[in-house]
Amino acid sequence: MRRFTVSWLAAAAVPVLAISSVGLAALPSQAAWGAAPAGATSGHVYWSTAGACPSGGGFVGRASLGGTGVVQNFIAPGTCVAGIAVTSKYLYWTQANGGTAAGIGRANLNGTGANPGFITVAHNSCGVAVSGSFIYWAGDVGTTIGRANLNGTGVNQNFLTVTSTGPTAGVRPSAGRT
Amino acid sequence: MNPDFITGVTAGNIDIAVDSTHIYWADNSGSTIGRANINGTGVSNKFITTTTAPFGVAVSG
Repeated sequence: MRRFTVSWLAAAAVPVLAISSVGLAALPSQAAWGAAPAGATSGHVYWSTAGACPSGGGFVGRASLGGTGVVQNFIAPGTCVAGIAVTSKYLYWTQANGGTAAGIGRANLNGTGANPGFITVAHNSCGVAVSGSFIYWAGDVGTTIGRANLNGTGVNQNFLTVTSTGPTAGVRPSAGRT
Repeated sequence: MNPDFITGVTAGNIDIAVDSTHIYWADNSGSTIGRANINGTGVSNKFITTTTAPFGVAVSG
């Protein structure tokens, strides 16, 4: 049985729901939305900005763990860049699209090979998490969590249906460094 | 539960990331990435200044 505790992360310009995935014991402790797996070697902080959604300007920034070497436009995948997650090899991000079908992007940790359309998702994607062999995402339209293999195959838009009073927006594994 | 584990943080934080030594947060209202030691000390609200409001934050390494 999977149970979720849903709570607001913060009231901000873009409200975000954090879903504490209590009961998601199947998820091994690795990376999460905003976290990295043990053994990751890139040593950087990454951040996403939505830009002037949906007209443009969203990007992914990067800096060293010491706060130096700031690159504001490390990756410029397009508009409405929202959630972000890293593994030892790749950087993943969601691109919201005003409620219609959107995408999950992927790039190498050094910024090369950026593919904004790595996975096409059915709903406005927001939060993203990676764990083990899978990538998970939540949208701010609807109450479902999707899942796919880390290589982008096996897309299941409705892997979980979440009981919530509002849309899902963030997702992260219960274990791991979140 | 300690809801005040880290204080002095500016409002508008919408995402958080953790590595073995630090906690990082994205401050959407202040256009900054904040950081504190994993034990809650050493709060730096303007660890990184971003040119536009950050939404998410992640850390590797």
